[in-house]
Amino acid sequence: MEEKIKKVNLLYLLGYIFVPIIICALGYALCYFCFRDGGTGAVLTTMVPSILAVVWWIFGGSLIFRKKTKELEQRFNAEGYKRNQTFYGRGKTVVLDIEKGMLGICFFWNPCQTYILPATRVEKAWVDDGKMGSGFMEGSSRVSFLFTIDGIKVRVDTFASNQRFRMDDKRILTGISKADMMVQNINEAKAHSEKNSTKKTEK
Amino acid sequence: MGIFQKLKAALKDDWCSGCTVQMDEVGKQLYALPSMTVGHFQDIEDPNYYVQNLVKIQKKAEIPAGVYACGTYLYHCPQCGKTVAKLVVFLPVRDQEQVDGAHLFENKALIGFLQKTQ
Ligand SMILES: [Zn+2]
Repeated sequence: MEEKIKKVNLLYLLGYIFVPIIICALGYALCYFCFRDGGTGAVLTTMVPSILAVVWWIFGGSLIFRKKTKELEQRFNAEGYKRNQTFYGRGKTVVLDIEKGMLGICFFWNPCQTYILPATRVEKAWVDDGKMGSGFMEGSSRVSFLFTIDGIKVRVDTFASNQRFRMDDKRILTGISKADMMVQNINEAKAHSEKNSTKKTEK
Repeated sequence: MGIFQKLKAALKDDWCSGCTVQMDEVGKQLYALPSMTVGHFQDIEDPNYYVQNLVKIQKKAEIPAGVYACGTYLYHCPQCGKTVAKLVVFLPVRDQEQVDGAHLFENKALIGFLQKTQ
């Protein structure tokens, strides 16, 4: 049995949020006990950790994720696969070798692992155009493609906004086109992967 | 010649700008443009690019998702005899078309290519 994919590493998620809070709390405690009169010591123990925490929350995650994406791409190439398609989604990166039927993926909230697996493990793939409302209210604020691996659903947005746009809006159409293309490519990779594996078992 | 006719010639693609008369449509064909995919549209004005990259297809359904298409029209002026090609570059998305660029060409190589592949 292969290892199931994990979208979220709980330890990382909790650590990401709480470690800076704990460090700040320690800093404030230290300030309270040692630098009650203010001065440089007080600044170093309160201001500095607070600013660093905010910087970490804003930039830390995306920096780590970008590094992880690069690592996934390098590993994909190193293992002899060609990146026919790469999709940089929000919090997820998906790479595909369509001919060899391989799929690579990494997740924002699980930077400890990158996955490269045969596309046969994808059970199904589909598009969600996010269509809501009717009449003149009809529109969408999110378009994504989805697929399941080992029963785990992965959603990758090709367009997301806090506003709703008409279904014939350029942004929505572009999002649908990207999602359609990814689903088509995933299904193609899956078909090739299945063909390759039957060839192997025949040998 | 009236100002209205001149305006029409300037605004309408199938009007000859020199003679300000309506040209005849003498050809129409759909192509795929596999070199251009969704998110990577470029407004290319070099006619040779189209000669090299257009792939003739029978119907829109043959174009894979995310790949651009190009509708081409050939017009012939009955007065001065010149031929003009109109290219409309669009992204087919399900039953809709997102038009991103349109060009008029009088380039011989491109017109020859289009006439040959009609
Ligand atoms: Zn003319």
